[in-house]
Amino acid sequence: MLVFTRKKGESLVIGNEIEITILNIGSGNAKVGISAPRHISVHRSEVYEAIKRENLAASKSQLPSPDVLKKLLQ
Amino acid sequence: MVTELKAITVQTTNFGEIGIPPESVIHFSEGIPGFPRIHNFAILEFENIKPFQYLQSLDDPPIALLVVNPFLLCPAYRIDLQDADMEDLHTKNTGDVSVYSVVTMTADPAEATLNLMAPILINQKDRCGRQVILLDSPFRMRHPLFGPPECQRAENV
Repeated sequence: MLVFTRKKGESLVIGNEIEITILNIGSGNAKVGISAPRHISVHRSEVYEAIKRENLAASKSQLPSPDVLKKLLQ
Repeated sequence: MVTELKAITVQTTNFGEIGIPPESVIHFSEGIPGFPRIHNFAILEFENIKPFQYLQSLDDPPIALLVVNPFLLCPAYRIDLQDADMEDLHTKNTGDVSVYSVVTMTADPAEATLNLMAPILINQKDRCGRQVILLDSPFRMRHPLFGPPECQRAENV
């Protein structure tokens, strides 16, 4: 992982279109602003990771037999 | 169901070898969370598992996600599509977009869940798709699949 030290108001540029700015630094948290093209999705990593885990779990899950399914859907 | 002549063949885990006509291929430019390198999928339908369908990967690994139209099982469900989502789906018309929710089956099928927080959107015209994460959504990532018909809401994941 690349590591940078930044002061409040300073920023980083990723590629040609993404800029990350440190807006504020408090005790134990940092406020970060991100400018990116609209098609780049930005998420809190804990939310993204949860969705990722759910997709992985879903890909391993087995569909019950059609009979069981029919009963459950009633 | 498919024309064998020009079909792409995919080896599925549950249904053996299946032919997919090229016009059924759906392109996910970003993949989906957990599978960022899978870009090509198809929706598979089988009479005996209706209303469920499979979102089948046509790339490696040949994973398949069980999906369902969430509005069928949860009539109160709603999603607010952002401009960026529509832009990514190459359309301005919500009528072009089909919504699918991923189903997670559990050892006890009665405890299976539906991911209402991260629907899969597919532009049926342009054959492109993406999984979006709904920001500040009142709908859960693990909505009980076979619960009461009314939609349950919760504050958190």
